[in-house]
Amino acid sequence: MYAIKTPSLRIDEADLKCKNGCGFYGNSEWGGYCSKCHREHLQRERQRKNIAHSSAHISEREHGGDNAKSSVAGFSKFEEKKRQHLKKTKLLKIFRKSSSARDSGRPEQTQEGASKNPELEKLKQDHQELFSNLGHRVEHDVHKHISSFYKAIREFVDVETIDELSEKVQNLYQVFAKRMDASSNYINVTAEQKEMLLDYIEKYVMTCLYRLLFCPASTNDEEKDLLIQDRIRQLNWVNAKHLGCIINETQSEVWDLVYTAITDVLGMDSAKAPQDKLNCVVRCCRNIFLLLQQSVGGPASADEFLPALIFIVLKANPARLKSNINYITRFCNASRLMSGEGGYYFTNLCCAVSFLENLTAESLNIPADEFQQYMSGKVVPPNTWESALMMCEGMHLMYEHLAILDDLRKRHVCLIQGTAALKDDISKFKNDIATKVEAVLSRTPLTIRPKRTPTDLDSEDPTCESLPPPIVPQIIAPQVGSDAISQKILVSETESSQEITSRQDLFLPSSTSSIPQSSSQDYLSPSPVFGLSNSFDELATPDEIYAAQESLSFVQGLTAVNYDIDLSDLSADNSYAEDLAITDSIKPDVSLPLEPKMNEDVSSSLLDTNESPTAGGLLPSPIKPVLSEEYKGFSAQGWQIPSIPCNTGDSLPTISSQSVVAHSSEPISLPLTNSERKDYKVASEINDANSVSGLPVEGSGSSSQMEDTLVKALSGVMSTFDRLF
Amino acid sequence: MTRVDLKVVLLGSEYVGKTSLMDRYVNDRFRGNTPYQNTIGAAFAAKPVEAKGKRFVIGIWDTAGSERYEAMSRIYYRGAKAAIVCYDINNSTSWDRAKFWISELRRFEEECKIYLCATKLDTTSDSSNVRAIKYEKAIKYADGIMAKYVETSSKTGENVDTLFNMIAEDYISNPENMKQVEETICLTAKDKRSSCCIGGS
Ligand SMILES: Nc1nc2c(ncn2[C@@H]2O[C@H](COP(=O)(O)OP(=O)(O)O)[C@@H](O)[C@H]2O)c(=O)[nH]1
Ligand SMILES: [Mg+2]
Repeated sequence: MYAIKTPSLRIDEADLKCKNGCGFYGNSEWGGYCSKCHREHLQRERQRKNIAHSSAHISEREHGGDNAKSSVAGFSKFEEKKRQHLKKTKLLKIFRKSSSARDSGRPEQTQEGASKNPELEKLKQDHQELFSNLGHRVEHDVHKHISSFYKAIREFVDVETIDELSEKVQNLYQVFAKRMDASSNYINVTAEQKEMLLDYIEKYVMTCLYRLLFCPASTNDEEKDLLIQDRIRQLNWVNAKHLGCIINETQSEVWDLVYTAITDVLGMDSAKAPQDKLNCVVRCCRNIFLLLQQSVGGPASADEFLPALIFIVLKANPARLKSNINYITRFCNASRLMSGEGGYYFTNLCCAVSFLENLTAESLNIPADEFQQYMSGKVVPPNTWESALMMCEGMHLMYEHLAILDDLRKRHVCLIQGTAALKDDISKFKNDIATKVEAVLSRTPLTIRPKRTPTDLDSEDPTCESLPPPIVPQIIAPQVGSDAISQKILVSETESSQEITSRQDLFLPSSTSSIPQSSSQDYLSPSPVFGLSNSFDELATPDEIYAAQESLSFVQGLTAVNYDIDLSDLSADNSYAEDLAITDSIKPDVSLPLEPKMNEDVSSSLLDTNESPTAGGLLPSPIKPVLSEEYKGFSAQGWQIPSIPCNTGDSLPTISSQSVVAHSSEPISLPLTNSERKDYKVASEINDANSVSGLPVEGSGSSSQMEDTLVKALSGVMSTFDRLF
Repeated sequence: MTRVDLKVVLLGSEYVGKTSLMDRYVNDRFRGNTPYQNTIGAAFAAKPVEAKGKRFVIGIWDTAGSERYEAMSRIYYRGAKAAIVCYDINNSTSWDRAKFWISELRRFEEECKIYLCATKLDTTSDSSNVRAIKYEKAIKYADGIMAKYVETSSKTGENVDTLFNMIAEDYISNPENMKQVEETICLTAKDKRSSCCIGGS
């Protein structure tokens, strides 16, 4: 019976033997060496690499005689170089990564996204019941082991070869198995549960390490993947009959099973843990047995099984086949899984792949020229079902892409929803701010602009025609006896009015334009403290410096007490956090009529901070603080902060504590809105925000309005001066 | 998936009766020419055995006998602790192939114990049928290669259990294997005791 069958597939013995000639069989995985020689070879190779890096290119692949498709030696050298380069850059990256992890002081496991990985989450959930049965101690110990396991491998990923890593991983599996037997923590754990724990560890760690250990750049797994994929594509004309495989193509159940088996083996690539991949193979093979039973009409055996598996692999053309096989071989818990059914099926899969790699006309029992014709694609064997299956691969690819598209669509919907929500938030926020700003503005009709304009006040005399004659200060000046002031006034007096106007013209536009452009910090300047630091930094022209100095000396001449208070204020305002603390502690003491309202209206933190330290809270009576504040500001900022002091001075006689508070709060609310405006910018709604916030500061066009306020402010200033002197 | 301690691989030409041998041992049946329609076939089977007071599991690997897959067979027997090399007692070609397998095994899987197995012994009971390979010739050869020789019949079940029990015993006699099995056994024993404790309390 068996004599009838002629030996069909006879691979040349020499191809299978170890290249070292030691008599053992070689393996293409090991560059044509047997396992022993391969290891020795590797070691030698490594040593050589260490001695002379450039001579290390004699890769095993170049020696690989059985690799018929191996490209030109020069190119493979290049490939090798590329690989090494890749490895190096990867190494660098990892170093950087790990160092940053150290910087942040977080354990690496969390860095790796262990908590974020949905697969790990799912894995944890799946095992929740198990752990709840086993108790907290076991769970803790298992996770401790996992993290040490992970670290042990992670550390060496870029230093050691994949074979060494594989050995380490296998070793660690066994270490844990032994630990479970030895540790008292596991005394109540049944053998079955121990197996589950082993599975859990393997799945967990390998899912974490998948990215690093699957098809690593240091190996040529990827090339092999492409080779076998091309090979299988070339062979897709091979049908079941060629393989001597009995598949009843008329039965729809058999059909379905063929497709299921194909799906199973394709699923191998998407699984992460080695044993999950292995389970895909097992499922595929079980389905093959089912379909064989249907086809044969009885129990199938190895004789029918292997051809059928070859057929399925041929039709499925699984993605990254070699990478997956190598990954399972290296990192599956060999002692447990590879000896059983899984190991058997996996071995068969390896055989199938090996068969396809070495397939010749002989092994299909067809004439060599016919084989050649099929291979070159000139002739296609006539079989509709087979050709339908040929499209199977394409179909699956299509389904995969459809799945990806579906996922993308879902994410897109999510994104759209998120955008809409964000838009709503933004407009709500915008309205909020608008109303708040409106409220603030209505409460404090005076805007910031006047504050800015006062600059002019010091540098030169207000030249508005409507102002009262400058003679009034002239009269007072001698009384005060301040040289500086008199000098200044004299200067201004002697200056021709035309010149003065021109100077102001020059100045005014620049000040107005500077307002919208300036950062939020600028708006903070109304607080005397900020103004002090800022203004001195910003002093640019000697003119300005002169003016500032002048004003300083002027104030010094007036009162020294107020100035001291200023300094203490400065220290308090230095840090934001401090401010917050201060406000918190101060708040109860402060009983200002306006305060509750403020809290309602404006986002409290910012407001409060500025409000209480600077405003009435610290100051005993409304009148006195105003005065001191005025001069503070004056002395500190010089010409730059005119309006606040002027304004308060203006209303000084009639001013109430309420207005003081309101006034001091105003500059604070402004920076707030300004920063909020930045948010709008992000949402590309700057324009809306600008118009809504309705800040007079923003309205660059309202120059006439500005002038009005300026005039008002200046008149206020003048009247203050009047009163003072 | 059950844990398997001992991997036994079946080698031999097509139709010598490897699958039948496995089926007989694992399921204690012989399908002959009228196969059981409703059974799913198998190429792998795991069976718990007891030898020298130790219980462990042997996994039996059936292989495709077709010569077109012969080149791949070394992938199958890699790591096997025992190999049953079968030949049809009536067929001298299968005997030659058996000898080929044995020489392969000796070279590439030194650790693997070899069991030379003549199949279809029942057919020799018919006096008209003259067996191709005489007992003396086979036993002499087996002795020469330090292998054990058994004549079996899957049809009657003769010597099938003997063969596998022999394999199990040989396996457990190796102190190294013994140690490995004992570790697992002690693990299970501990479980039993502890579960008892839980039940008691
Ligand atoms: N009479 C008899 N026939 C057997 C025996 N073992 C196997 N056969 C028959 O031999 C043929 C091939 O058997 P099989 O187990 O499929 O051989 P395999 O190819 O080595 O797996 C089948 O028709 C079996 O019925 C046996 O012990 N006695
Ligand atoms: Mg068989």
